[in-house]
Amino acid sequence: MLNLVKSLINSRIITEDSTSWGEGFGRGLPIIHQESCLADCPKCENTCPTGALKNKVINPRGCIFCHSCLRSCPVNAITETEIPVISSSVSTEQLGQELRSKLKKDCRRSLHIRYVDAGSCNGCDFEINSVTNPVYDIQQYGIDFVASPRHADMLLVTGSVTRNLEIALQKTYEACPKPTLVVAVGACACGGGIFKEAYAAGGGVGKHLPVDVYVPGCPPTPALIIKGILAAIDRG
Amino acid sequence: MCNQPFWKVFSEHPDCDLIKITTNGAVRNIKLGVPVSKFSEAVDMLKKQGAFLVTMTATDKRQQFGIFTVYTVFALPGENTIIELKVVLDAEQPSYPSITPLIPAAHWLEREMKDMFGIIPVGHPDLRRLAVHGDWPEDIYPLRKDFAANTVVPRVTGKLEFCSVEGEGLFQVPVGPIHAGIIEPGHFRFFTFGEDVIDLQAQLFYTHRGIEKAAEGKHYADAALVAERICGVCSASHSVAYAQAIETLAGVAVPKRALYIRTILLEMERLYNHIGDIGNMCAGIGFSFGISRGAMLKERLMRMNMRLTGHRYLRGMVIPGGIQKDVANTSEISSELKEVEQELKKITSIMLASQSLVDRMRTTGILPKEVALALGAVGPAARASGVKRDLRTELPYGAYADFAFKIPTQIEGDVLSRLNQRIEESEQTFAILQQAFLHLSEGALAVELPNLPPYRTAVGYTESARGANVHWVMSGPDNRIFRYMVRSASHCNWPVLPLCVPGNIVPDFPLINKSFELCYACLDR
Ligand code: SF4
Ligand code: SF4
Repeated sequence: MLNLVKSLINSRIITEDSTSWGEGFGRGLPIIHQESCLADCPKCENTCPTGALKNKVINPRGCIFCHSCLRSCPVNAITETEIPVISSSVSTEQLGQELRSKLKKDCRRSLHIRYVDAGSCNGCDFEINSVTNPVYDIQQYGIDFVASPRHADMLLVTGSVTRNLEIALQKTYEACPKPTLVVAVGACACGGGIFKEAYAAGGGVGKHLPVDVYVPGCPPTPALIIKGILAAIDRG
Repeated sequence: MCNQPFWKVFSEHPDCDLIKITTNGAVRNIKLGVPVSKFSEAVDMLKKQGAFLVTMTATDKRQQFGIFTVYTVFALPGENTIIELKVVLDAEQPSYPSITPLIPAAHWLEREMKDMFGIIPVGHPDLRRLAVHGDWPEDIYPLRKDFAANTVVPRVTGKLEFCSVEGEGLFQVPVGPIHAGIIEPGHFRFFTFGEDVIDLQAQLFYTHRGIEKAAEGKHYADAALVAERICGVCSASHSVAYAQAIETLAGVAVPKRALYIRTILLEMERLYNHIGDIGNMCAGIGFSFGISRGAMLKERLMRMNMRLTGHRYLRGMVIPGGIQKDVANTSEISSELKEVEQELKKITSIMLASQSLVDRMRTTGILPKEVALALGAVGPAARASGVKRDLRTELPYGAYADFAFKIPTQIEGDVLSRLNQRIEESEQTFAILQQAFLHLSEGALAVELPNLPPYRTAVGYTESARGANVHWVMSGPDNRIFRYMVRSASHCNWPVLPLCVPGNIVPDFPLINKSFELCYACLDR
């Protein structure tokens, strides 16, 4: 007991804010520098395992950040850049843009998130767990994870939406009070990742729910996940 | 009875044929074809010689050779030997005598083969579906070759199947698939009397992504990306296991530097998992000090991973043939590890000094040694019950033979033992890492692989933080994967968990569950 108290007293505050995250945003998004790229070279496109790289343009929602393209380029015309979070410009939900803006406005100071694993590898989920650790401490933004979708303003979804979780995801969404913000976390949730659409994998959250913000990365770092969540409520 | 080695007896039999004996480092691989009629006898004989089941799977070669084939892989502890039995089955009515009555550890593997291939293990005690859910139509088998990976399979009406548990005053408590916390999906059905759990059954495979099917037909280099994405927190151990299988197929030896770097990755992975789990087990009883200190230390390790490899989960490093990217900041990391070691000591000594923590964990969720052995439990869970089995020493792979370390074990098999097991294993991991950093020599990172011979099989394995991860690969034409089977540590341990819960109260389940730290993604694939 004494040691416990001593150890507590001796510890410093280690929570970081978004300006001091020491580690950047992880393995970045490839970027092709058109000026040095060879006109008829098909190498990077042929090597890309997901089809995210087409006609020398990279779709950040389809990329799994394997960096095969970087290594394949004979003239080093591909480098990496920070992964962007992508706000979806058209939300397909019938509830209308107005209500969603109201939600964003109302939630400016506090947000409750229900997390759903819709078939991930557990990597994204561990990083979501990390955002609650004392270092990132997402609660410092007035944001918290809740146990029930009935209490949630936002669904945070990982995984490509497998056949066996499709219904559970739909039901969770339906149980949320509307309007609900949806954030897709990770390459699998953004575009199906390497599994794409198959007998068991669902091609990403966007095929099943109206997504507000995509956070690419495999997995995205905790810092990027927080950035994505804040972007969804216009605090990014 | 059998003083002669098993394979000699069998290879002299007219119906059996010894396909191949090869050695891979210190490990000998024996492949043996046996007719269906002799299969049970062969398995029985192996069992009597003390072999344990490593993996079991099937292939559909109807288009090529008009057959289904079942492969069963055993290891003979103490003899550094892996034995693969190959049984050829009829294409029209594929069935064989189930080995589950002899080797209970095979029971999920055989059910999975039935779901995925329609191969019937005759005499299996429980042929309910396992890997496909109730809404999956009968007679559609996704791993058969005439099933295209992108088939849209309709849903039929069906429901969860549980073995019935009845009695006055019994309640059923359904939980999941979506859980309250930030954890993976699975459905649990508790049968309770008051607070006491009488029985626990689970429906899993919610995160089934069709990984094995997705790898089929891919070039082995692309399939490595799939292997790396089976599980986030076992990325390194899965990718090394896969790479080892491919390297065995290609018959190449990996350069020493690459082997050492792989060891560093594997042990860093073990460390962040064990430390994360030590903290998480505190979450099972609400001991906040341990939760937050464990999480902080784990975060520190994740950042060390980032500095070492450029990825918090060590992805993008391992390729068949070696390592594709060198490690950075090694001297800095190795000295920081010493601080982490001290910090862990401090945290765990405070944890174990808490009487309420020890009281909650002691005698909770006991896994008896006999059950662990019979069901083939692996990893820290098995070792905490006194089963001294660790593939790093039992079937040495990579560079592990170069390092001095111990395999700790416990006796009681309760939650506290599993906590202590992780603490003691972490100590050994620090020792291995220091040796690996110290002796990391210069040299090539990878070798070029020659073309893979088609329709050959190989097995690659690692001892991950959760136990044995076994990857079985059959090559196809043009360096492509014909069949890929992943048996993760969680695949071995999931059937064990429900047996440790009855007799405990419902609120202890999260604690017991956390002490096993089973991964759903690894099992479901
Ligand atoms: S998936 Fe890999 S190869 Fe394709 S664009 Fe992304 S990093 Fe490049
Ligand atoms: S995006 Fe990557 S880390 Fe996230 S679930 Fe998919 S494979 Fe795993």
